[in-house]
Amino acid sequence: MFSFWNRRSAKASHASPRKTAGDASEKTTGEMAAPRDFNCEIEACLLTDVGCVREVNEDSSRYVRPADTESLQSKGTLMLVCDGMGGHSAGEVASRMAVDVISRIYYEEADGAHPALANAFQEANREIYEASQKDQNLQGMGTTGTALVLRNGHAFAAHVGDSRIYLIRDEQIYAMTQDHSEVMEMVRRGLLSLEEARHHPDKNVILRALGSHPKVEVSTWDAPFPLREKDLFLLCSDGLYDLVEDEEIRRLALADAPQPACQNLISLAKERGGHDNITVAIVKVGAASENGGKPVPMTREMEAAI
Amino acid sequence: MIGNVVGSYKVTDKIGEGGMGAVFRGIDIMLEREVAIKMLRPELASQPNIVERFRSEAITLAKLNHPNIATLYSFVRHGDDFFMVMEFVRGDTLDAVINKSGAMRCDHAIRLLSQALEGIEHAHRMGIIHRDIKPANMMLTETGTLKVMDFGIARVLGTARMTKQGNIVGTIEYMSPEQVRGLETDARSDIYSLGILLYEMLTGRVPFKSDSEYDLMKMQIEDAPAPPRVFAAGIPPAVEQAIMRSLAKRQEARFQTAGEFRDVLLAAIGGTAPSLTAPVISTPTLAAGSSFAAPQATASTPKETRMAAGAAGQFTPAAGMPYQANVPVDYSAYQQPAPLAQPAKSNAKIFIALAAFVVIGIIGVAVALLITMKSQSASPAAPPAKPTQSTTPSPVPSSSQPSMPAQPPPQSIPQPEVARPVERLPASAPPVAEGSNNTKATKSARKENDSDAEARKEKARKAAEARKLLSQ
Repeated sequence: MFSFWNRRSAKASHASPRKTAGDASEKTTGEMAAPRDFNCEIEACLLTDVGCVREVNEDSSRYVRPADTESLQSKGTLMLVCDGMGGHSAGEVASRMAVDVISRIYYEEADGAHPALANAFQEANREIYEASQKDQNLQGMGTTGTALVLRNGHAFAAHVGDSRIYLIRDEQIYAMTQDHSEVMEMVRRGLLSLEEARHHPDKNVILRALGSHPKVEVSTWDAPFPLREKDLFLLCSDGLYDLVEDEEIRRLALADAPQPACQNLISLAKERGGHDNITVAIVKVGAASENGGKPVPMTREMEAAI
Repeated sequence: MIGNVVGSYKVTDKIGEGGMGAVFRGIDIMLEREVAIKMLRPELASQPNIVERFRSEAITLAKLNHPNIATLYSFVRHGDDFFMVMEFVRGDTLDAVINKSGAMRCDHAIRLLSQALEGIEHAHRMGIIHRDIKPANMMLTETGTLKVMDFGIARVLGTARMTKQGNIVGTIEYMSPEQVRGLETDARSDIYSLGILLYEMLTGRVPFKSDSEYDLMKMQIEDAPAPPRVFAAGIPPAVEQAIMRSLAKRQEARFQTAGEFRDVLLAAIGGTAPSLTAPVISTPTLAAGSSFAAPQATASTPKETRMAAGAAGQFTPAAGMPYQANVPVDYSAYQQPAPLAQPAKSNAKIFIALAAFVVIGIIGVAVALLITMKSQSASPAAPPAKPTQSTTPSPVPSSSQPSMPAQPPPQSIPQPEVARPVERLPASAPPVAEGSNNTKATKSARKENDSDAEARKEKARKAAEARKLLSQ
């Protein structure tokens, strides 16, 4: 099944860049998009950074673009961001397992994108939970999971936890996911304002995670989301949005091509303390000129991994 | 773990599991005395920042030296694990005592609580806030001494990233409104929790109870507790008053120190006059707690207070009460929640504005209903098939606002969670950024709060009218 995508990310490179003082570029690893050309209809970049405080990067992420046209047509491309938690190296193990399992199962499933994503998440939950039960050192591990699929002019998403998907369309930014976190639940119930939630001491407590319980409820969008030209999706772990405001995300994401934009966002989070691992992914629906503004059929993506 | 030696402590058996991790009994080999050993959960111990916070909390705790506080002996690292070694307190938790015997006699409860208050007061003087006061954190020894445990741990745990499993970072039943909202906590937050504790000791039940923790949070922030004499008629009115004051929604309306709270309680059962710090509840006003910001200005004896308290009773004391305090008291002035984000307004203005507010509120609701109905009629109950159709919030700003500053509504588009539409933050209208930096989500949250505030004002207005009628 692995032949479905031609390049998988160099996992070893993001696994555990050790913290060294200063230079962001040394510690930042990830995948970079191919240079854009007129043909290019999806431009993607995925960067992750250990941050300024942690010693281990517990975030795992992956961009998958099937090599064969058939899978590309039927399953599309997949961007995944997972933010692990747990003792010792457990958080890293959990998020990496989630990335592996979800990207494998999603492309094996025959179902439509949303059911396939949901199944993949459930399978990841089961495998991580089982692994945590078998090994004392992995007990209590879990991970967030946020996935975005672009296929045939539509986007699909699934998520568990508090890693987010934003959409930037026509210069405006939208949150496309609702965090499964204690504080956001309080906001939804009118107990807190969004601003209070940002500063709440329990803002790290999430209500759902992959692998921390035998069962998990996975959120998916209600329906396929029709894409428009120049739509820009941004996926990130809380290491970014804890420190960088929505408006700043919008501005920086639009200011540059995906790769420098991801880099700038990570640098900003680090300037502000970078207390957590930071993962940022941008998927940009390309400017394929002629069909201005209309939904774009996605049949000719360019390779987007190094 | 059992049988291991940690530092000079031998672990003998496991006695429980706390939010922080397992708790063991052990023996100090050198000093030959029993100790309690708390192990930091491995997933926390592996996070250096948590360990550091934990240690700095231990450093503060080590400064506490009081008979009503379980003493910290040592902070030990053993391999990858961290342990807090504490005084071993032989006895039952207050939780177990209440579960076993139900409500306590008033004088007994107050003597116990005043021990807790002494311990807490000592900690407060050293600048330490407990933040997780609940019966399970109070140990009652065989000789009747009460000891407070687990200072400050809630705060350390709160910084860890974790999946929620039960009340891991505090116990909402005992949490002050400011703590629920994640605002600054101080000594007065502990006073609130102690008020809940005393309430429970005297009535056998906590004032706010719900299966849904979010409902419980809402109650802590907004609801007035039933006066405890509703459930236990034998409670002296002065004690009830003290409890109600400690449960004021706004910190400034509560007792300001644990010592003050204790003095009033002891005076209430001892018959001696309190030091004129008793609350005055003679002139309930609509302004949130305004008459209590400076209690000394209107101080009088509790007796006068009761006399002055007026006739609009909220509860009826049972017959045969030991105290002839057949005088219902209106505690509503304590129970004005602090507004989420509104500046305080003057009384007169509120009175005048009230009617207008209510009318506007009704119109607003009507309009909202109309809008909702309209959008519902446009979109069937089932999730819309195409999120960008006009029936669902569309991410595309309407073309008439091309140059809007752009922080439009997070949460305004595709509805990830069809199953629970009510809990959705988002506005049901397309994102029209209104030239403000606020996100729509913020706005809708505020709006909700506004309408809640409206409801409260309406309530208060009715109460005021009722009082007026009664007094005529």
